[in-house]
Amino acid sequence: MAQLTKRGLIAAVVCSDTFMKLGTAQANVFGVPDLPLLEIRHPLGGQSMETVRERAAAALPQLLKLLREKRS
Amino acid sequence: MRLPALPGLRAAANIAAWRFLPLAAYCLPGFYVLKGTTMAKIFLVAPDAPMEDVTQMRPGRKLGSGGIRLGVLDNSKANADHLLNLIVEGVKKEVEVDTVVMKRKPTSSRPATDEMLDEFAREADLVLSAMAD
Repeated sequence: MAQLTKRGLIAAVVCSDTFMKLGTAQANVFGVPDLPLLEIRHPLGGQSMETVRERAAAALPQLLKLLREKRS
Repeated sequence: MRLPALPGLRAAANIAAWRFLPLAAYCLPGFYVLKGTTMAKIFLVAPDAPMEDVTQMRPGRKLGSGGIRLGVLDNSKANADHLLNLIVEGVKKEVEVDTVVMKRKPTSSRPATDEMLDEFAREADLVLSAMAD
């Protein structure tokens, strides 16, 4: 995603809360400290579709907010 | 136990004996002197990776008032495809979406290929991915 940001695209990464620290550190190391991380609850793998829907519902408003910001 | 007179085996046994000494033994004052050796140089490696050069970064895109071109990079981890598809469905309900380009990495441990990145750069304005377990 850092590579995409460097190519000028808008990039966003859905990141579970357990991985937020790692995601932030990686974004810093890859030179894109402002890479938007859309936080959801951990875990994701091995969860039911209902739980996945809850995770998606948590990420969606964060992504829509980013879209609004990038339009203005 | 008497070891056969094979130099390689003896050396391996010596190394094994050193490896399994209690950790505290290495900390005893004079330990290295008693063994009749000088302490080897210790190299400390900082785990921080250097920051990547960002001088080549292109200015970030702004979205126009029309439909957006959405890119989705599936990292191939469990449920990432379902999560990303649900988010795309949600975005389509709220925002005009012209196209959706979906790519899936063959394995989560490898970075996206240059071909994938080039295609996103040509055909998407915003790319969404996931990082979770």
